[in-house]
Amino acid sequence: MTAAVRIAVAADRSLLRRTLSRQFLLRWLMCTVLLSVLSAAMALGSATTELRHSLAAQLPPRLAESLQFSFVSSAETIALVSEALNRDLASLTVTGQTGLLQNCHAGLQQLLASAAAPSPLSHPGASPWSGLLPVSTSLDVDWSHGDYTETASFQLQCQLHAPRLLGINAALALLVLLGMISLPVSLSQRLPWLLLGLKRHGYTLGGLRQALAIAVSPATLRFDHQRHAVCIHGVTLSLPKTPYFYYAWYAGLRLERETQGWVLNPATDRPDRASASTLIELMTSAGGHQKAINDLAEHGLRAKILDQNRNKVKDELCRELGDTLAAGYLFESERDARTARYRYRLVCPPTRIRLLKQAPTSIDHPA
Amino acid sequence: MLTSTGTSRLGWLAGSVLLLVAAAVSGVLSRHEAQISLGDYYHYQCPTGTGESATGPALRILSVIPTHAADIADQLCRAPAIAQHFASVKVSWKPRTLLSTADLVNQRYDVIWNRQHFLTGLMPDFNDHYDTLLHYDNYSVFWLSLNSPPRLTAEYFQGKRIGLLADDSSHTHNLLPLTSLHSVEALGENYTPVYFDNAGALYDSFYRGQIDLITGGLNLVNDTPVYRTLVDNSATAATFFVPQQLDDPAQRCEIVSALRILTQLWQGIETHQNLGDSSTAVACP
Repeated sequence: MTAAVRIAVAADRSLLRRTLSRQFLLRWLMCTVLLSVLSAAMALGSATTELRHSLAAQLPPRLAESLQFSFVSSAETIALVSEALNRDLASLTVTGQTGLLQNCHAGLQQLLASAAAPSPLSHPGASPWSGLLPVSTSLDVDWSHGDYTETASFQLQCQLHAPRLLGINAALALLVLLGMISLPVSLSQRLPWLLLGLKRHGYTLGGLRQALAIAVSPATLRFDHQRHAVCIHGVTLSLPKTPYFYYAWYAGLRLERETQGWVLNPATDRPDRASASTLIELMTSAGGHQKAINDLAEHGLRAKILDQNRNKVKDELCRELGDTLAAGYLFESERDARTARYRYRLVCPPTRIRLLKQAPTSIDHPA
Repeated sequence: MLTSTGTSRLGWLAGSVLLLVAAAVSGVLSRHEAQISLGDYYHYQCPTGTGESATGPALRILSVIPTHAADIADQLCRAPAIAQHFASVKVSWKPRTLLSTADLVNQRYDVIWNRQHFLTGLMPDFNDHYDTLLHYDNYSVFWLSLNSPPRLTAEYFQGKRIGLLADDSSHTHNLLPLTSLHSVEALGENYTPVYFDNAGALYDSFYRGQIDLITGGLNLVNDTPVYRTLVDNSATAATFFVPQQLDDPAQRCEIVSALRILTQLWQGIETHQNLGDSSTAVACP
């Protein structure tokens, strides 16, 4: 194992593991086959179309001048012309950037419906496998003779360079699958916000513009104490006053480094006086309900009230954003080993939390 | 953060987009171009088998129709007198309207089948450079009708649709019928001329009843009974010219012999052959 591989394994073991899984290899094979079939069809199809255009442009005037005085369009004349045409068809060159098609030959099947094939193309006999697959198509070109429209039929035979075909498409398929694993993370994160924005603002052009603004908005959680509103990923939600302050209180504590945002629930029989005073301070400074402030001052912070308000925040966010999107901005919990009580904090990391204490004017339109 | 179903649905969507992009890239990479250039299809060529073959000069014959082109060429290719001087024989039926003055002056053809007056029109001193090799005349041309025996009167042609070839160098289908109409004082406004680009279309329209009258020879491809009235029994059917430089009687004889394959086109008409100056004239076997 080389150092580079070891580093790669260390850097992203899961990627490598997923890359080498049987499911991945199966998908790779399917993608390769699908792309190869498309690619082969495109190669032969484009060559056929080009040949048809070229013949349709050149053949009718050539035949018109050749058969102008042939009121006896005898089999003899048709045979002469067919032979000469077949000789010219031998000069066909088919070229492509990737050279998927090799050894192309075109042959005249019949010049007009009543004339038999002059000399059908000989199929290359069975030869040892050389990586070249024989493929062929037929094409028709109309030309006019007197008042009649005749149809000349041609066949195009080529050999498909199978190793090149599979190689190119296997590489493309690999890029697709690696892209599917790694690239669309940001897309898959932003798309639900776009859909949410459309749902909120309507499926109109204006709605789409606002939805796009939401989709490209940074994934931040902003608090506006003036309006008791939060702005989540560009979506502004007004919350009832009291739950709003509890939410903001948790957000403020989330910024504290030493606790990492964890807040231990008070014991049911012993309300938390210290926490109550910081909440009272917050509510008083930003127009909280007097009743809630009095309650806190009188009883301290009780576990029941704290649970109630967290649940209210959760209900509001889930109602507005849906469970999936709300989850990133709600609470996580764990049991405290020492007290056996639960402690809670916001899921949202401190780097994405913005507390605006002054009245902001641009909260609806985050930069 | 996202539920597993949401992730997989989005994964599929993103995957489909990527797959489409890959298919587009693959398609662009797979594009091929086909190049072909077609030559003309109014000639037949055979080698004489002299050995030096391809590098030597070709005996070039300019015919009017493709009929028997291969037979004439093949017969000449087998002739020793031709093989001595020519590596190949090429019979062309290039539309006679495409024949140019330069073709005649530069002697690009060793045998030319055309009308004397047409060639003189292209090159006034044509007769100083070319000899008449073979001449078919007393060719009979008729008015043909499917419905009634044509009469050479102005009244008969009144309101008739008359098929002509849009080729001023054609005697049978242009010059002779126009001359006949003029001679009976049928005025242009009393009949309807219908011009055709090729003889096949002219005959087809006639047999389908889309035109009333055409002119033609005695031999017709179609067996449908037709009414005939003679227009001219001394028309020139065909004349073959050779450059004066091509003066080897043996070669001329071989060419005459090969061109006689065409005789069946004009049964019962007279031929005159001229194999060179009277001093060198030799009768062919």
